[in-house]
Amino acid sequence: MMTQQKIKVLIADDHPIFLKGLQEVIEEDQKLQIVFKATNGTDAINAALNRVLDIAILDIDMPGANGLQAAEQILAAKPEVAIILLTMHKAKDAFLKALEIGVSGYVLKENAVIDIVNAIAAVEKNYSYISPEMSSFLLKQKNRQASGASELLETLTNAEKKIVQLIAQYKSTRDIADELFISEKTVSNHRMNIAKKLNLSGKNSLLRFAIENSSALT
Amino acid sequence: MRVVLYSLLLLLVFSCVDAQVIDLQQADQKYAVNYPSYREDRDGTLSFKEVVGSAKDFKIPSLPVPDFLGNLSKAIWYRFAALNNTPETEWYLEIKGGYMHRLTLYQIHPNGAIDSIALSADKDFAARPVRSNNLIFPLRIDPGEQTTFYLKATSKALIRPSMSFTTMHQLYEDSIPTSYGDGFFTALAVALLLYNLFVYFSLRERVYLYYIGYIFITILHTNLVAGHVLAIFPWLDFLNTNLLLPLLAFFSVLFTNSFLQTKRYAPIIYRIRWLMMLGYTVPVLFFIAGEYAMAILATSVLMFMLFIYWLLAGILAYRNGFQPAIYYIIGFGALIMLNMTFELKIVGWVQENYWIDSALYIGSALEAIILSFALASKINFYKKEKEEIQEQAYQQAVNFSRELINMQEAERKRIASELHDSVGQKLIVIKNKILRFSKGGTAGFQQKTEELAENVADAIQEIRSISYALRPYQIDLLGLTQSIKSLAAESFEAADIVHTLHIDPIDNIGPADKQINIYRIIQECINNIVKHAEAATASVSIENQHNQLHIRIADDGKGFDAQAATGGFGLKGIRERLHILNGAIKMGKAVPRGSVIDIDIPVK
Repeated sequence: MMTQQKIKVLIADDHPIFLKGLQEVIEEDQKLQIVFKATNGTDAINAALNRVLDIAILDIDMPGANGLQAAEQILAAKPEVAIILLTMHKAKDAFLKALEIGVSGYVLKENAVIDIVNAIAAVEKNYSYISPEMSSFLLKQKNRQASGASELLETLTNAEKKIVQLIAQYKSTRDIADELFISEKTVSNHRMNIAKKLNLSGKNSLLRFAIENSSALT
Repeated sequence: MRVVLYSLLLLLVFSCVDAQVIDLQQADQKYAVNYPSYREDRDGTLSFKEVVGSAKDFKIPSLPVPDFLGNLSKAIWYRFAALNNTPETEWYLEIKGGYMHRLTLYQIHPNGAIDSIALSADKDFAARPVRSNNLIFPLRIDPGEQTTFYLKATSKALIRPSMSFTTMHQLYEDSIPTSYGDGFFTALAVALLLYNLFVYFSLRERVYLYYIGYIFITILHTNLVAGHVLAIFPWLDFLNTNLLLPLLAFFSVLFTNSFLQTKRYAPIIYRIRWLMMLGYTVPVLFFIAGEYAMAILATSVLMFMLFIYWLLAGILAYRNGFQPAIYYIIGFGALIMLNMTFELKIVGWVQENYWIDSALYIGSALEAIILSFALASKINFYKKEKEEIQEQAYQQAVNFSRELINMQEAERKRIASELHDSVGQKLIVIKNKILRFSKGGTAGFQQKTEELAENVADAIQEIRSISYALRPYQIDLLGLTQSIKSLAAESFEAADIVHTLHIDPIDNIGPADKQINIYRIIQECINNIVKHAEAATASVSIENQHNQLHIRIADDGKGFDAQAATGGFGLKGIRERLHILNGAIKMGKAVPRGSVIDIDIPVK
């Protein structure tokens, strides 16, 4: 077996001490290689577009372009790059915006040393990753917004509704499979059918729909 | 005695050749005495005999009505003759000269008989043979007879007798249009004078008093020159051009400076105003000293300077941006023009008729009308100026509160980012260090460090809350639209209020300060609902249509009294920000219950 290629990572944060700490944590993993450290959004974008890259870890609050803008531009040019956003913002709207852009991971800075490794491991397998503290925070949020999606939801089967409910609880495909005692493949098939029925397309679109309409699901 | 008579006869023959002879051909005509020969009598001491005795000293004038302005002689003698080719024997010599002093007419009949009549232009009105505004000398000229006339004129003003031969019939006919016209224009000026007096009573502005003073003296002077003053008020015989014109100048200078606001619009004119007014004491002093010729000379020079002063003041004020000055220029211009027309008659360049004869009247009346109109338009000008100043003050207040609010927002933003980026980041680094640190330890150690990490996390959360409250991070990060959506969703969700949101994309609606103002207004409205309305449902809709942002925030709560609510600080803040945004707010009751707030904000 030939030697495994290292995963190429870009990290960007305007706070030097945090950046250094992050670098140390990532480099502890032999499979990972940091190819660029940026201290602002513009540098991060330029580096991401000009280098071979697997993962870009971006802080949201950066001078130049902010993390969301950087992610959007990088994904527009290189959709294959997995983006992990690092942020101080424990807030639903920033999170939803990140989902909309199509990022793969949303990691709270305060838990970065623990979560970043898990996040990298998840996105490497093409899964999404959300800091556990973030998802529990989001779950605590009430949603009293009158939903206009009830009719659409009626087109779903009971099994599909159940899956949407679990997605709304920020559960991964794997978690859902385990919980419902079905295979991951079956869950993926369900997800595809649901997305079709609800006219959803694009990365994270089903997750966003489920979160936004969680009040209509219960 | 014989010798005297003989020599007189001789002289008569001589004088017949020399004197201007007026040919009286019809009884219903007026014959002007143009180019009468004249002789200066420097000290006014020559007797009739001396004058008749030296006929060669008489000169032919260059003007139809010789004008002795600047001549310092006390008296002027005129000589002319008339040949009566009509059957009419009763003739009259009419002399227009209400401003003159004493006129003595000598008539030498062909038979050597001499008649003389002395009339005073400035007193003894009752003693006049014909009590009229002009001086009228009754004469007897037999048909076919040629008689010679000598006239001695002295004056306390100008010596300028405008003479004509006429009959009573003609005198009567001529006096009708003149009296009517002079009366009409006088009445017109008086009416305007009264009108402006009333305006003065309501506005209490001095410029109206100056106008009244000026127009009053103008009317008086014009009527004095025309002889009407003495005809109606014989006791006003002390009045004289040399007294009235300085007074007129005095009021006109006051009026000019007040009306044109020369202090601001024509400082030079303003500075020399006292010089102008003081200058007019000169003719008065000469007059009081009995130096009448000097007095009239000084008056004339000063009047000429006054004309220039008026025009210059008008033009300067107009050029410096005082628009009503145009009326002033037209008004005084009209007066000057008609005065000049009157002078043209004297030098014989224009034919005499009623309009020319009454040019001074028409000029004064015209000026009174135009200046009165100017004063009326000045009220408008003032009003507009006042409104402009108010508008400016209002704009300044708006600018000031905008600056204040912008500064406040900038300061909040600075503190928020300082907290979030500096303290927050440091705490994050600390928490991460603790988390790493705890990894390798025992279970007890891990528990302790995790507790510590929790404490730090709490601190981070607090900093987050404070900084979010100071400055919504979303505006910079996610845009205004998302910021408002999040704001509404979070606030209503926290208060368990079911809500609907319809928010058009408004991220690029204007500069950052405009966006934050819109955000703060909506924030305040939502806060009011959450805190006071006790609502179960609420809605926020923002439509961006036709360059207008329509914001509607409604709830089904207990509603509020818009009148009572206006005093609240929150609403004050909303109004302040709306002023800056040029927006409008309408607060109403919803049906069946609750409140509706409509806000319109213009956007580009």
